[in-house]
Amino acid sequence: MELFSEIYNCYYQVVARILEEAAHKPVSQNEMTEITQRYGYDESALSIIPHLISGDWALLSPDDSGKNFTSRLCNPVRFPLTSLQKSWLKVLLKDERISLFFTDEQLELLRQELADTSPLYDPSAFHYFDQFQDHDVINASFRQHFQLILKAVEQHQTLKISYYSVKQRLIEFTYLPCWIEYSAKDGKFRLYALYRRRNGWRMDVLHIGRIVKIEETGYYIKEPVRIDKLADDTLCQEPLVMEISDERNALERTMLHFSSYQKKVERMDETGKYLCSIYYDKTRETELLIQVLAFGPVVKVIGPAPFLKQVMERVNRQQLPVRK
Amino acid sequence: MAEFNELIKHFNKVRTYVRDFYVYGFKSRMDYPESGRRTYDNERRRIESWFADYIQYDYDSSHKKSIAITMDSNRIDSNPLFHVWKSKSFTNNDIMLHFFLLDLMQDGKSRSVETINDELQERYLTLFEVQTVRKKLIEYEQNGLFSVKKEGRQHLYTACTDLLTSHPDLYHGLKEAASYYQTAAPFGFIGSTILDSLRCRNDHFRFRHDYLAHTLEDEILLPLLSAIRDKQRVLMQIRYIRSGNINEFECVPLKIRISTQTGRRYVCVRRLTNGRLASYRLDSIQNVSLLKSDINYDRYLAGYENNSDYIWGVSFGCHREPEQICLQLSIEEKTESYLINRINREGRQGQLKRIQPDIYEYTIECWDSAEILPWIRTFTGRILDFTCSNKQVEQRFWSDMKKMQQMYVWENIDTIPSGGQ
Repeated sequence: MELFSEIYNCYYQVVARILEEAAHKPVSQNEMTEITQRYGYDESALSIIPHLISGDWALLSPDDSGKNFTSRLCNPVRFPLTSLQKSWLKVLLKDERISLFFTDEQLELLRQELADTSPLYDPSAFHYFDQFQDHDVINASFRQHFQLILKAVEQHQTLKISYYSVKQRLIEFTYLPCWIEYSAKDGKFRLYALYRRRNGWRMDVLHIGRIVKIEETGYYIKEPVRIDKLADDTLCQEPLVMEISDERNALERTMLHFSSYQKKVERMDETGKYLCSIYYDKTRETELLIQVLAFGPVVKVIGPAPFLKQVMERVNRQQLPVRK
Repeated sequence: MAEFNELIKHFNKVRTYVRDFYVYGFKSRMDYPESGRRTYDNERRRIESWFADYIQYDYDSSHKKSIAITMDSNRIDSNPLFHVWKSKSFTNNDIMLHFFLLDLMQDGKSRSVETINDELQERYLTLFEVQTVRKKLIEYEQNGLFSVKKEGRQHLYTACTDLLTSHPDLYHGLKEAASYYQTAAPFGFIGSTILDSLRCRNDHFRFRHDYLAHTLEDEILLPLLSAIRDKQRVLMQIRYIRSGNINEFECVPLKIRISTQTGRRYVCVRRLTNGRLASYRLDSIQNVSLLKSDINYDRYLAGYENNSDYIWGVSFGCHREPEQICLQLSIEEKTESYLINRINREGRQGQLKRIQPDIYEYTIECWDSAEILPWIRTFTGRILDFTCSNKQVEQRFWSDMKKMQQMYVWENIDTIPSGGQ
């Protein structure tokens, strides 16, 4: 089965959007350009629009003025699922987490529909060797909570949630669920949700596995909430700055390890070392600190001062046995 | 001069550039001496176009311009590197036939190639060669979009029933599942193409510890998985990351080992030349060719399974006996019980034992004890003792600790910052 195929090409998607628009009403070149800029790459319009207008891709017919175009298709554009897409879905049916997205009846229906499809691969060929051992267990109650949360996110409905905090205190609060976060490292789902304070909304993070009960409130938030702004509040003011030497392949290892962060790397020609700045979420500072310590002396933290202080304290606290 | 094209014919062509621009982000044209100036400029321009929202420019100390693809993977709804998968070049006939054929065949009727060609001309006023149409129909039949049956001497093509047309109630679940698994499962870009087909995007999920560059290895991963499923040998071409040397050899792939913490994926193989188990990073593999089945496959796999209890990461070491590690930690039980939980969930096959109040001992046996050192260093500050049957590893650990004290404490004895959060 071919992975790299033009069927999945971004240009096909852009052209499909243009054809959909042109099926309803004649579209101008400007409208086509707008669609291309929204769904295509930065320079796609330079290629797509001339091909469509010139008739190289004879999918549109010009009107009498030659300035507006209508679709030559007779039916709505459709992208039926390909064998590759079905074979990927078939693998997912073996994963317990798939039950979070469908009812039992829907899962059974999917199994029937994909009965003749071969799975793309056998999931048992993979071993996630460093995943934490206390990952979420998907049982009936987890599934019910997850599905209620997804529904509430979609509908902007608030939920009354009872859950155990990290300190094992049972807490009940009304939240507006925003999104669900998953970490492959610990195999856990977390809910990012807002709760209201006198001076506005505040963001909280709830581990879904710790939720005991969820009740729908029937109350829908219609006012726009600037969720991204609230999430940005936890971003660091100053990035972590580290000096990386290239001993023991450290550059390669660190760059890959920290590739999930927003970062900036500079080569310092005079020392042969590298200066790496990482922009991180302050609520996860300890995790980053641990990651940095794991690299040992090939990574040296330069700043910011509070981060450096924590590294120094830990290193200073470390005793070197006399016999070593 | 050839016109610039955003699209590419072969995925492998840009794999190295995209990976370098994303993982390193400081390389300039001078780092690609083997590429011609125009080749580099074209690849750079393509990457700038695909990842326009994530491009960062910089100039190094010698005023050379570098380009980086950078983003916080926790704050995006989809892996931007999937764009590479959606950039396969095509011909004018390819795109026209795609839309015309799917449109024409929507009525579910069976048609011969000749009838299809006539109707294409009649309905869309476009003339194609019968051979071109036949080739596309065969291709789409292989892709599962059309089915074919033989009637007399004719092949009749029919559009396959679309899952969502017959079961529209699956739409919502499919959207959420594709949104989640596009990151959580291998070959996530396929999930992203499903979202494209559904005309929607992920707006409910975010991901932590997501190593986006994995997607660039999927063309290598698929034949390896196929070989594992069919118990086949492969011919693998490796480019060693440190030396840059290229080596080609036959082996039997047994398992794909994935690190969720470091962003690396490996294939564990049995090498046929020396009969040893070895692991290779997927991003170092240049090419995989499938060979014949191996009758000893199950025996090799059993050998791997027997060894797997002693692998900390991916290394099988070079000794006949596993190495022993013993780590003593100071943990204040009243206030730091979370550390005991942490060791239990992260310590893999090792054992944790309380040897006296506030002192715990972690022991483990593994083939290559050097692999565990990064994890042990995360406990810096509370390590009371560390011993290893491999004395070189033990020495390296304490020598590293000493270097860190030199770096952070002795060199800064007068300048310890007083800042705090």
